[in-house]
This record gives sequence, C-alpha cells and structure tokens, in this order.
Amino acid sequence: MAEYDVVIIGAGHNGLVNANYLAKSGLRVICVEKNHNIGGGCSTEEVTLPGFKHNLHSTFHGWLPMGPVYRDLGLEKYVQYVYPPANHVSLFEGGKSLVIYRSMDKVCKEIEKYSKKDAETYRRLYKDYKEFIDSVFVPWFFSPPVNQSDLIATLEKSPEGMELYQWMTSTPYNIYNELFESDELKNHLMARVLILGMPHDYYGSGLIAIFALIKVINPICVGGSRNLAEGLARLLKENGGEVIKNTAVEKIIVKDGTAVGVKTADGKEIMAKKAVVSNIEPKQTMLGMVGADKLDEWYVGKVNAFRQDAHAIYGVHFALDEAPKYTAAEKNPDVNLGFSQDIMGNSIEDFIDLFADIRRGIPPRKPGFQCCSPTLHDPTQAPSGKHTAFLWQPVPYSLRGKGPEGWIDIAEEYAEYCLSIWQEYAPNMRKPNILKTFVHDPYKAAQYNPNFIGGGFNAGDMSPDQMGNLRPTVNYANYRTPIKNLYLCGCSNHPGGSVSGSPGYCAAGIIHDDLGIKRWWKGLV
Amino acid sequence: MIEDEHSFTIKAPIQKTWDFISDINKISSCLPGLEKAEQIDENTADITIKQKMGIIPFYTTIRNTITERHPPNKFVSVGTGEHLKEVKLTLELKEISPSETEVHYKMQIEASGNVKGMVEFMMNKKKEEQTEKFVAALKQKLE
Repeated sequence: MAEYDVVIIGAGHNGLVNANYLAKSGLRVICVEKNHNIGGGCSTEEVTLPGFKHNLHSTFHGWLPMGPVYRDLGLEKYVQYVYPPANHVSLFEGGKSLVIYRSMDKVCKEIEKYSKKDAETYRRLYKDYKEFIDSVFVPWFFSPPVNQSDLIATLEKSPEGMELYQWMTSTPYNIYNELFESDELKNHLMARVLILGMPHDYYGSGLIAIFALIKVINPICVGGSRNLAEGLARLLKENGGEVIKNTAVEKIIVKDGTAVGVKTADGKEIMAKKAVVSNIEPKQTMLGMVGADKLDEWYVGKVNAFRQDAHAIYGVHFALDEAPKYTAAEKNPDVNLGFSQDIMGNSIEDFIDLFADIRRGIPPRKPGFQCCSPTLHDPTQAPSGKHTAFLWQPVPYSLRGKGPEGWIDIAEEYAEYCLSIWQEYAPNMRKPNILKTFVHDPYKAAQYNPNFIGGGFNAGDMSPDQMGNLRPTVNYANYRTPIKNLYLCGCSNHPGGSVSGSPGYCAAGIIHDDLGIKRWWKGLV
Repeated sequence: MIEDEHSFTIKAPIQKTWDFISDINKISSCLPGLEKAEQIDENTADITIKQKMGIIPFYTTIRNTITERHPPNKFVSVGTGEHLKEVKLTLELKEISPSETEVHYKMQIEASGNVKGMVEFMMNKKKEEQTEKFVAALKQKLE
C-alpha cells in the first residue's frame, strides 16, 4: 500500500499546479490520472495525420501568464508562449472585418471604420477601466472568493462606482447596446464574451463585458496546449512529486469523516496522510467517489443542483496544406494573421438566435463560430510548411429528442455545414487544401474528460448564481468540502473555467493554511 | 505585507521638519488622496483616504496613532482600518546641515481577511506613486 502526504485526483493543469505548490513546500505528492495523457482540457493530440498537433480543448491561455502561477513556479523553464500580432478578428458579410490589435490606437482606427463615436467610447472606457481591471478584477480572479458585498459596498460610495455596479448586475447584451452603436463592434465584443464562456443574457455577468473590452491578449502555448501540462509535470518531478497515468480513482477512502486516501479501479489503495485533493467536478467527486451516504442531505442537494455548462463546444479540426486565406484580407492583410477569426453573424442580435436554438436542443441553424490556425504563430504544431486549424461552434449538449448520443448521427454532417460557411469567408478551406478532418463533438468531449460535464469547458455553468463565493455550492466555495482533509481544486470552483491555474493555486493556499504550513510564495504582489 | 522605503532630503532645518511631521494634522495633510482627517486626541486621528483605480474611487478610513516620538529624530505611527491589519509609518530624521534634513521613510502595510491578497496587490501597485506624492507634498509645505 503506497502512502503519500497528498493524493491529487486528476492531472489536469489545475491538479498539477496544486501539486507543484504543495510539493515545493516539501509535501510528498502524487497526481493520479485516469487517461493515458495528462493535461485534462490542455490536450494536444495527433488526431488527423502524423505530426499535426490539434488542441482539442483549450488553445487560449490568456489568463495563465497574467497571474502568479507562471512566475511562482518558474514555468518559463519548460513552457513558452507566443503572442500573435493581432488578437481577435471578426469577419462580416461583404468582406468586412474588424481587427483587434494589441495597440489601442490601431484598435480605435479599426472601430472608426464603423463608428467614430464608438471608437471614442472604446478609448474612454479603456482609459477609465484598465487600471480597475488590472488592479481589482485580475487579483480577484487569482484570490479565493471574496464576499461580494465588500466590492459592492465600495462601489456604492461614488457615482462612478454606482455606474459600474449597475453594469455588473446587467447583461453583456444590455451593456454593449447602451455603450455602442455599431453592429460590428457589438457583435465582436459579444463573441469575446461567448468565448469566455458566457451567453449574452445572463444578468449579473456585466463585469465580464467590461473585462472583454480591456483584456484582449491571448497567447498560444508553444508546442501545443498539452505542453503546459507536460511542463508542470516535469517541474513536479523536480519538486519531488509524482504523476501516475492510466489509473482511475474509483473511491475516496473516508474514515471517521476524514479523507485518508483513494482506491483505484484496479483495487489498489493510495493513502494520504494529510489531504486528498480532487481536480474533478463535485458531482463525481462528492457523490461518486465519496458517496452520498457519507454526506448530509442538504449538501447532497446542493451538489445535485450544480448545473452543467449552458452550452457545449463542438470542435472541427483540420490538417491543412496552407493556412486559411480570408477574402477580407484583400482589404486588410492582418485579417489572416489574427490569433482567431470569429464568424458569428453581423450584429449582436445574432446571438439571440444562436442561443435560442441551443436552448431548444438544436444545433444552431445559423452557426456562429470561432476559427483559429495556431500554426501561423507556432509552426511547431505541424510538419514543416503545413498547418492546423479548427473551428469552435457553441452547441447544445443534449439534442432535442435524441439526447447527447444524437451527436453520433449528425456530427459529421454538421461539420460539413459549418465548413461551408467558413468557405464563404476563406475560400481555400476545401479539398485539396484540407488534408484531413477530425470532428470532436460534445458527446465525445464529455467521454474524454470527466470535467467536461455536458460537453462544456467550464466544469459547471458560469452563471452568476454559480460564481465567486457560490461556486460550486454555497457555504463550501473555498475549495474545502464537508469531508475533513478533502479539497476541490478544479474549475468547478472559483474563478471557474479557463487555463489560469487559479483554482489549483487558490486551493494550495487554503491547504497550506489548514495544515499550518507557511506559504513559500509571495502571493499576488 | 507591503513595504516601501525611501530616503530624501528636505531643504528645511531638522527642528522645523520635526515640528511638522510630529503634528498628526499637519503630516496627514501630506497624505495623497486625503479626504478627511479628524483628530481624536494629540496622538490619534481618523484619516479617510481616496485612492482611484482607474475611474473607480476606493475609500479607506484608518485610525492612526502616533506610537513613538523621539524628537527630533524618529516618529512612528500605526494605523488600522477595514481590511487593514496594520499600516505602520516610520520617519527618521538626520541633520545634514542647519538648513537641510535627510528623511528616511518606511511604510509597512499588512491587509487582513479574505481580501488580503487583493488589497495588498492594489497597495503595491500604487505605492511608488503614493510615496512620490507624499514626498512632494512634504517638500512643498516645508521648503
């Protein structure tokens, strides 16, 4: 029987971040991974042709370099990021485009093509809110959840704060309609919010609409997203920790209300002297691995009430001879070089139709998707001179009348439909340029990764009633659980989905405090 | 814990400098973003400071108490407030010439509660700007 100080279930990036912070404090740590590859949502697989690396889930790692994890763990030793010269590009009918550059002056020039007034408003908002986002929102994201009343009380003390408070309680749709007049800019901004995981109409998610205006940088992990997990695993080894793969945890062993280890599917026990940490979402961790019989009825009810993502992600991945060439690049060549190209209709109203179909259980009849060719910025992800690309389309997980399994029948056909729309904007997205295609529908995604409940990528809906000090359940939103020495460190916890390492980082701080171990890192400062 | 430490020269005699900084009302008037200073007694004042993060103002009220006076060389004040466990200011004065005084300034801030990380992050971001303004105000009053 093996014995460690800490057993971590799941070697996704948050589990590995958590493991590194604990191992660096001298704890004996093991990460137990079910799959043959580590990384969870940071997966890179050669699913089309040899040498073509496809990031099946995360590609956009904007949060990680923004927070403390990359710096604290010295991740630059093994993990590098590239920053595309242009960030997001929105494409519209008639060869029109909006390119969001890293330079504010260039962004405003682009917006001026559609509305001079909007360009002025955008510049003003950037000036007014950049420091707030950098100094308040970003640290909030990398801290354990705080009482929302603290921030609200602060905002209520000034007229400027009250305006932000009103926006916070509103929806991205309402805010963009209040602030801007151009359909193109509103459509672009709404696409950004959607990619962050939220629909247009969640009341209480307004701050994300302001965030999407300010933070536009999205670096790409060199070598593919799984390189982040591989880098974290190499660091963990150097810090004295271990990772075992192909080992599913079946049970968390609880004695007298305390987690003392795990039992694997092949019947082995791995004991934990100090803590068991789960990177898996709460339903599977608490109800499956612990068992409802060991929990009180109220808590079981709350875990059962934790809702899956409101939309799922449907990915179509391509091995290409050459990168997508957009018609809109004839007017602005930078269109081809953007980090991503969003084809999401022509106005903010298109998102209403998109989500109406998703909520009815229908794959959107007017698709709105994000496209990306990572090899434009990181050529190591394909054989020399070749390219990869993908499209991400928000869809329902469960199809009306057919359930999630319904995707088995329609996944390929829907890919053809989405591709036909992409071809309208990038005519070379067809054979013989397309060498091979791989469709990753939400049913497949949910089977691949236990955290992708409902085929979503946030391990639980990012609605305001499931955020901050309410995530994943009220009264247990601080990475602790009702079982002593059992913690959660995945993105079902604050601050939610994304490749930030924040849940793993925050949970490590809480575990240090509970074990009475001094934190070796400086904190956010 | 946030720390900021600087030395600077004031073109004023040491006694004049001391008289100013050891008066809680006068020293408070040099604090950047001072909204209100209410003297409680000779050594204590409630100080409200406004600090802007972009367009959004943050108000903090600190009860500040002078805990050490070693005329004319050393002055220590300690404050506490909402989310702030301790704000400690140490000023040490050294005569360079009859008309010049070297001031060594040390500020230590420790936040508390579940916003500790956020508050210290904000304070750290602002510390250099705040120190610059404080020194400029002090010089303006004394030189």
